[in-house]
Amino acid sequence: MVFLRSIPPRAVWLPPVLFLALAVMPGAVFAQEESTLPEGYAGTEACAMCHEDVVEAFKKNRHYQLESNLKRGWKDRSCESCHGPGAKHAESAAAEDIRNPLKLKPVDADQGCLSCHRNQPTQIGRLQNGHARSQTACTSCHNVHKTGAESTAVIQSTAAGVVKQCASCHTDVWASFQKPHRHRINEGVMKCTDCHNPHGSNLAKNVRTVHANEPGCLKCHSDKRGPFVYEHAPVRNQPCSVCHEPHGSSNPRMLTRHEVANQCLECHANLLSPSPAGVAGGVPPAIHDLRQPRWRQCTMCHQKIHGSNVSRGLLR
Amino acid sequence: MKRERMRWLLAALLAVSLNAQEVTEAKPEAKPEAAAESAEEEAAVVTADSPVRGVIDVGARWVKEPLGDFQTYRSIVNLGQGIRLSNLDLNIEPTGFKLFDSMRLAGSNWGGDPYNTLRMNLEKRNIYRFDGTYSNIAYFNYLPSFANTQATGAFFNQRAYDTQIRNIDNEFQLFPGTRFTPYLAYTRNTDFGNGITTLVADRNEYPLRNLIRWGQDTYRGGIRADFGRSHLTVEHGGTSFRDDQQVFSTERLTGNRGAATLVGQSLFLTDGRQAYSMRGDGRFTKVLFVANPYDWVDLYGQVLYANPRTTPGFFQNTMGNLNDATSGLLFFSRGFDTLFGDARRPHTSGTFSMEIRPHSRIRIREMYETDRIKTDSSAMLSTTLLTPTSSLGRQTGFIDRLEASHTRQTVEGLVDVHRRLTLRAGYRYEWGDSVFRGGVLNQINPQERINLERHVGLAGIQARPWDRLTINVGAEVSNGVRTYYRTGLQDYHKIRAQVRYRLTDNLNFNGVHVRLDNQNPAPGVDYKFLAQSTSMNVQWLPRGGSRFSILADYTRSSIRSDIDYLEPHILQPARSLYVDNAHTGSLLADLNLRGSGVVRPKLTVGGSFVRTAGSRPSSYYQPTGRFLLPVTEKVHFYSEWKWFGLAQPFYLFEGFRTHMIQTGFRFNL
Repeated sequence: MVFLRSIPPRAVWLPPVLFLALAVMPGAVFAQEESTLPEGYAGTEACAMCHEDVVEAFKKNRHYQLESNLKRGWKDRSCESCHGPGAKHAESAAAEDIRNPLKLKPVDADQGCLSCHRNQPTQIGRLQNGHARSQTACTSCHNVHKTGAESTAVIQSTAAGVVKQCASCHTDVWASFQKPHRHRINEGVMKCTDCHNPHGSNLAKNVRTVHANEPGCLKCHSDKRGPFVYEHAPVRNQPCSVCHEPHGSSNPRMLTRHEVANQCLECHANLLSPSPAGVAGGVPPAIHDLRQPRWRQCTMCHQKIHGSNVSRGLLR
Repeated sequence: MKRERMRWLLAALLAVSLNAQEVTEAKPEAKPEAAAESAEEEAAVVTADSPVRGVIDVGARWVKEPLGDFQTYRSIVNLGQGIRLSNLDLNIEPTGFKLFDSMRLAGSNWGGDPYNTLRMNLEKRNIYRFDGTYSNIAYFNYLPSFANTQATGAFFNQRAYDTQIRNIDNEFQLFPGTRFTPYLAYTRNTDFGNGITTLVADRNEYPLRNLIRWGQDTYRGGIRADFGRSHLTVEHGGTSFRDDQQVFSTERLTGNRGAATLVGQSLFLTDGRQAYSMRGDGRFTKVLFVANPYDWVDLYGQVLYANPRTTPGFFQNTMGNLNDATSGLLFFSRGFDTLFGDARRPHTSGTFSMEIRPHSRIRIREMYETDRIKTDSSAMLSTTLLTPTSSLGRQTGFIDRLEASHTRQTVEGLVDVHRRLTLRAGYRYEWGDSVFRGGVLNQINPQERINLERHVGLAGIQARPWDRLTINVGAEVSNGVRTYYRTGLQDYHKIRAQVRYRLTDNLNFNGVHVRLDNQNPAPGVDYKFLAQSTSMNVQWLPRGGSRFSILADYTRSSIRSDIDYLEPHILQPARSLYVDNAHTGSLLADLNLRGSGVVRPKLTVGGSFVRTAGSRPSSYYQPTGRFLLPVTEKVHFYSEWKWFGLAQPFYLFEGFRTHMIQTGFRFNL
């Protein structure tokens, strides 16, 4: 208020001029930034001079937000955020003067993507991941320049798109899904990434986790989670795949054996438990006369095989 | 006064000019060649920029009455008939709309189908993002081979399900800035329907109806923080579980013993009821961090903790002539069982991994993972048995415990020998122990303790001798010291080799070979397991697939498992041999037929087949054909035919054959 009172009455033009100056100043700074690219960089406008179609298509890409995002540090250089400094390439127009992630070694291509995407929760298990181990680059699954139906965002938003993409490498798994008893991948109601995190997980086979550290299978089969008063030990200290073949099986319960009796008796075959070999199991009581069909379907009686709250023999 | 007015006018003009400048900058410059574009191309641009884009498929499906076993058909295929909204995929991007920038809506099989999905993504850039999915999966499983094949009547299959599994997933993220991202999520998983289950009484078991109704709700929320070179996520959540199954029958059932008597008495059930009232809750916490303090090192870590709890309640009421084995040969006419219990399972996991790049060609990876589970449970079971002359009551208390820990540590080095060749080698040490209650008959070791110890060597090669050829080989070799179970990984080697060859830009080959050989030579186990799979696929799209394209693959796989076991009733050694040799193939050939204008029909033929031989031979064929006829630019007619056929020589009664025809219109928006 003292400051305002100190303004001469005739200087009423001062506030609007100050206001205008304030309004114009950022613009001036903005303009200055626009014209000042770091050394070696050419800017997106320069890229568009030759690659106009690519840049136009790129405008529909999520990465294009870098072009105007001040906080990410790639303003007006969104192309060069992946392709590296392009001033030399802009002058020479030579392919070897610009970085093409598709033609780089996987590790170098990945480092480019990870420079922004490393700090994402999905990358936590990256090093344990089979994809990282086998040098599968990010660009193997994610394309940046495709738009419309060919874009990664659209392909990976449908179950069929994800399955097709995964099946192109994991052909043996795709073959398992052609067996009669399998998860509903072929019906389009499930997709590979419902169960697996392709970026990595702390579980084997990149199996997703739910409820922090429980296997992802329990997301849909939450009745198997427990805890149970009587646990079946392998359900807790082994992965589900020790008994089940989730991709496809000839067994109606997707077991890894053709009949449930074989599945059970292969473990429950020790007179002493643990056996001298140190493995657990034990033998079922002698009433289990396998010559009668009644006893060959173990889970017909041991129906709470994943764990029971009532019966130590997992009967109810 | 005049001078003042001039100043205001100048200020206003400045503002207008600034504004005008911004508008000019935002608009792309008109290109000279744009004027030469045809009207058709302009229309295409308008379509591409319209706020609503996508496809809607509406049609009807007919399924021929299957030949063979209908229950097997429903257990494996289970497609519904009638009018369907078979596919919906809409992308809405309105301009200037305040609530969202983009909305994606995708769904499939609506209109009474056994499988439906719906997905919605809403986004207001830099403000929020919402992802919601819904899936409904019919779970019908009624296969005669999974039953007592000597039983007759309606309960031929004694473990059958006809339920609907429904999953709802919602996540809402806020973007108040680039540094912090809070999020909230809610997941619901339910299963309800009918089934057949078995009420197991001593010396007999009776198939009963089962009303299945269980579900779990999961709530979680957290915050992701990004500090440039490091990242932290903290999440906390809770679960709520309930299982209210009801098993009942009021018919007179003789069970699986049939007419066979026990010391001259027939066993039967005239009224059987079970009511499960399981309640569960839990909480979990997740802390994740990623750091890249220097360009040459990446650090990853996570600490995960879950603590689910179950408080079971159970009531059983049985009437008839039943036997109680605990009391010897006591026959009773009525029995009541009541149980209340409590089970808790703290579960902690931790992972720490790092990658160091001391040289541009060398990467060293170190990973440490640990997982610890402990279940403590207790229960009290009250049993009352009524005979025509007396009553017997007993109470039994149970305390149980299961502990398991598993740790692995891996060190791996990767060297880029050449820009086209990377070699990898490493070592993994796994160890763990588990303690749990011994088997029912185990009088020597009421508590069993087992150990796991495994040394694993790792190796791999990634080579790209030419731009068009990539070879990737990974191998693991293990010398297992101890394993938990007889079929566990002991002395094994695992190989995965993949070759990808791009002969031309339109012709790709891919070959994969996977082999797992596991053996446990310990006396009494003598386990030999070998699984192999070799796949080839080819993708041919001449001229970018403009006329026709072919995608074909073939896989030859085999499994052989051979292990000793003991026949329980005579304790004589026997061999469990499982063999599965499979040929699998699939083909998808697209042919764009000649036409005029927009009327350019497309024909797709193909399908898949599996033929297996061995322990459970089967053949499953699914040929398919699809015809797409564009009527106008935006409306296409489609018709699809599929044939399903399953045959199993050892289970002839579990075969079926049927046709499915689906036809309708696709609307392109």
